[in-house]
Amino acid sequence: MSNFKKWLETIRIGWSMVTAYRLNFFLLIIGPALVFYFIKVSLWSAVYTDKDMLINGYSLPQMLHYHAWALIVVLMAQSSNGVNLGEDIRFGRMSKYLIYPFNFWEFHTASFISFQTIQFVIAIFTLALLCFSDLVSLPSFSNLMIAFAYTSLVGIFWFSVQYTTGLLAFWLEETWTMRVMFQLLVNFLSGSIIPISFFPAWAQNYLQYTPFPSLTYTPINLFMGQMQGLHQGLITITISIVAMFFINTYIWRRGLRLFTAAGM
Amino acid sequence: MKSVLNYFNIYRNFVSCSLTEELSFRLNFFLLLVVDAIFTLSALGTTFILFDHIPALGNWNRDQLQFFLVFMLIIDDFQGLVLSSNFWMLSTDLKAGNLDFTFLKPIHSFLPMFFRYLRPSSVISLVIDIALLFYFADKLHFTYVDYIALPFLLFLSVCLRFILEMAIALLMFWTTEGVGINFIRLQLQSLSRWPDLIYRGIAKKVLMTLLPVLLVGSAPMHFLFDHSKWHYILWLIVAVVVFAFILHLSWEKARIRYESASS
Repeated sequence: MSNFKKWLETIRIGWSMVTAYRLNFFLLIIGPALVFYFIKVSLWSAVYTDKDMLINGYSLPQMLHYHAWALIVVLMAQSSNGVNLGEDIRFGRMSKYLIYPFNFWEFHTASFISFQTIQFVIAIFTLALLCFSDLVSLPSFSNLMIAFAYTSLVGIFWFSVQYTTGLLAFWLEETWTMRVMFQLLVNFLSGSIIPISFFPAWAQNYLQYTPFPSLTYTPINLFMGQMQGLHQGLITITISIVAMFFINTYIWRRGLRLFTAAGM
Repeated sequence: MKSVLNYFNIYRNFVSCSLTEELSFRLNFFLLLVVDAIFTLSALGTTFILFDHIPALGNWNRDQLQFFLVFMLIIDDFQGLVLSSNFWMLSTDLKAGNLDFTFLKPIHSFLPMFFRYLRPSSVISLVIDIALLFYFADKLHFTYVDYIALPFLLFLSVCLRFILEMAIALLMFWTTEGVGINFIRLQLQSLSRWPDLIYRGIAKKVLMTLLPVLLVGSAPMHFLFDHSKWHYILWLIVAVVVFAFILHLSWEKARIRYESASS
């Protein structure tokens, strides 16, 4: 019970920290997602030369719906980053977590939950705006709930990856390279810019053995009311989260042996 | 002349220090190369997949769009090599009061503020991207005139990108917290990595005039693909001159605005 209070308090502090620097939060988290969405809308609007044109089975409104849902998925699941985590290790701030009764993993996971709840509210607000602008049409209530639940699971996987890249600060001078690398791969291979069904058949075959389509393409399809891919996505993401958990535990134990903090 | 030599010697030391620092962390150096490679492959891959389903984007074909992308990648490489790291350091230095030392030095503060840290790993991706540029130029049957104009156009585009980004970076003197400003720069870069022909309405007008990030890549392309559109080059030159003047004025204001965090 006392540990539960610590979790709640850390989540509350996380909310205060995010809302204290609102402009920064907007420029760092929401701004990039909106600009990315604007670029994709501009690109596909230029690609479709007339209203009735179909490209790979998608009409322009369907493609715009796809990218509107992509915006929701990005806001909900792919916004957290491990900047603070890597810096805690690099600058030796991690030492305090070794003596606190609330450990490093607990602190960063609580911060993630705090961040994720704010992102959820922003995603709902954005979704309402998109609905009013007729840029998305909602699926059935049950499908919507399934899609939200699945996207939250993707968010946990995203955090696991960010946590791993942050832990690499035990060995690396800079961890942003790993984060950017992952972000670039996800943007390209998960269907963020171009739906996976546009990829050549051989690439689609290879991609189904990776978690990438499950990160953007599957949740977008779920939001659009298409349930195929749900089971495979669920299995892929769950296995990936469990695998990341074991990898993180291993890296943490190895990294801790290397950790030295000066000036304490 | 003595002053130029002095600046040259200082910059040579900046290059030497950055090279030593980057090569001290070899894994990091290698990862930077991998990031650049993934960036290039994903940019070109996107157009490959897109053009498997469409014949043209506006009036550009696949080779033209890929030439444009590689041209933009080269500009990114130059920026990564010379400028990028300094923007992130400026954000930290402003908060920590480290700029006091920069202002006290008997040289123009722009040199240590914007050109102190280099990223030598970008040279490798620069060489690869230049080779790709020639490959796509050959596919587009460029004439001698085009090949001669290319370095000049690249120079103008790099100048405009540098000036715009430095002007935006100076906003940090007003906001103090500079990470958000750096993200604005990154978003403007993302917008400019697609040609102006995909944008419409007010957005296009703003991004071609008030904040001409689209001119950086699109203006040279319009001229190279159709020489009758030479006015784009004139537009690019005017933008360089106007924004250099704006940068100068902003710098004067920013300097007055600066409050030492350490005092």
